Amino acid sequence: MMQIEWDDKKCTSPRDCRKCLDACPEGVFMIYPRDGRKPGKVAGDWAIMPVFLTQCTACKICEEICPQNALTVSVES
Amino acid sequence: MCEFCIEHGQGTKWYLQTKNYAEELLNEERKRYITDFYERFEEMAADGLAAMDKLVPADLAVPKVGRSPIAEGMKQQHFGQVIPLEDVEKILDFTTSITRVHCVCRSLLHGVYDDRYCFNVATFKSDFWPKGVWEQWPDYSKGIEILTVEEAKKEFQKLDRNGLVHSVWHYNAPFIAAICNCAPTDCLGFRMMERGQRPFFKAEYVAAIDIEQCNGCRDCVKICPFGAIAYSPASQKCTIHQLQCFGCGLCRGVCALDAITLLDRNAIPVLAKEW
Ligand code: SF4
Ligand code: SF4
Ligand code: SF4
Ligand code: SF4
Ligand code: SF4
Repeated sequence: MMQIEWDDKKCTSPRDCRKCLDACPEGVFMIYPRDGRKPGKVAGDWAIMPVFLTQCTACKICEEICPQNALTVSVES
Repeated sequence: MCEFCIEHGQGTKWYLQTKNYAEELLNEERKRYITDFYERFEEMAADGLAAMDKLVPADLAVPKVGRSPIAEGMKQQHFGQVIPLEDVEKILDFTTSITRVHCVCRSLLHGVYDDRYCFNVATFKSDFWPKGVWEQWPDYSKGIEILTVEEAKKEFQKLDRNGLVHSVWHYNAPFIAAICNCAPTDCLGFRMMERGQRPFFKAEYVAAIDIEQCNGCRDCVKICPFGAIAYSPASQKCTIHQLQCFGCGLCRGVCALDAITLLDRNAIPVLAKEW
């Protein structure tokens, strides 16, 4: 299985960018509110998470498209 | 008949039974389940996907309904069935409240919060469903719309032409409360098929092409979300692979020559066992 590192210091507004979510041909990523969803509140602090990792081919399309260089794909030996 | 029709429909289509939409079913336990479902949707999805990764690859080779403990467990919790446009319309005719809401799968997979592909239906007025549930979370409740039956029918016709598969969903069997409009890349239910799981039944129908009518234009091939239609350069006609067809009826909607009809799945011996 591949490994994907997501750097939250570089990816500061995933809700506005969303490029990795739309570009990955295998639909590997999801986006979620890191602190959960609280009644009456707009969710803040969004995070990108690779969930369909078993399907990642390590094509690195996500790495290339990410405007913040926040993603690093590595092939597990 | 799919197993829900036998269990919850007395041998007729379970999703056309008004008793499966009844207010009495919305007890405290279900209310808790529904609230939890939307509040913790991302968490549950991530946990579920991680659990699927632990399954033996050989078990996942062919996506079959209820193949694993995960899809099997969902039959009780949250499970659906593909239905064609005419059956959507039959349901809309007996509901008294139709609310078009944001789609939680699209928000999770594409980060979009204004794609309202889910229609919450009810046969009763309630402060809890769907208004009370959605209003708890402003991210979700933004832009929810109340529709009349006629308005909802028009929207479904548009969605049909745009290649969205309609399906009914229950929240703890057999309480049905939503009709979804899904696409393979955008819906977690579809995406589970990539891991050999399927949390919904095929439709009670299967599509067939009358080759005497077909001119081989291939419009049907373009719209089929399940890759079930093949064009033969030899015959210059299309045919539908019956084991791959989910009976959604989208191909029929785009065929300008009316060459496609939906047949009763239950009347075809091999397909009657194919859910
Ligand atoms: S490497 Fe390719 S398959 Fe893997 S997550 Fe990135 S875009 Fe998707
Ligand atoms: S493409 Fe990069 S910056 Fe954009 S959401 Fe994905 S990880 Fe964040
Ligand atoms: S099942 Fe379909 S319409 Fe319903 S939330 Fe998921 S993708 Fe959206
Ligand atoms: S859309 Fe109709 S006419 Fe065109 S290929 Fe399909 S069945 Fe034939
Ligand atoms: S061939 Fe079957 S699955 Fe494909 S669009 Fe037609 S009815 Fe739907």
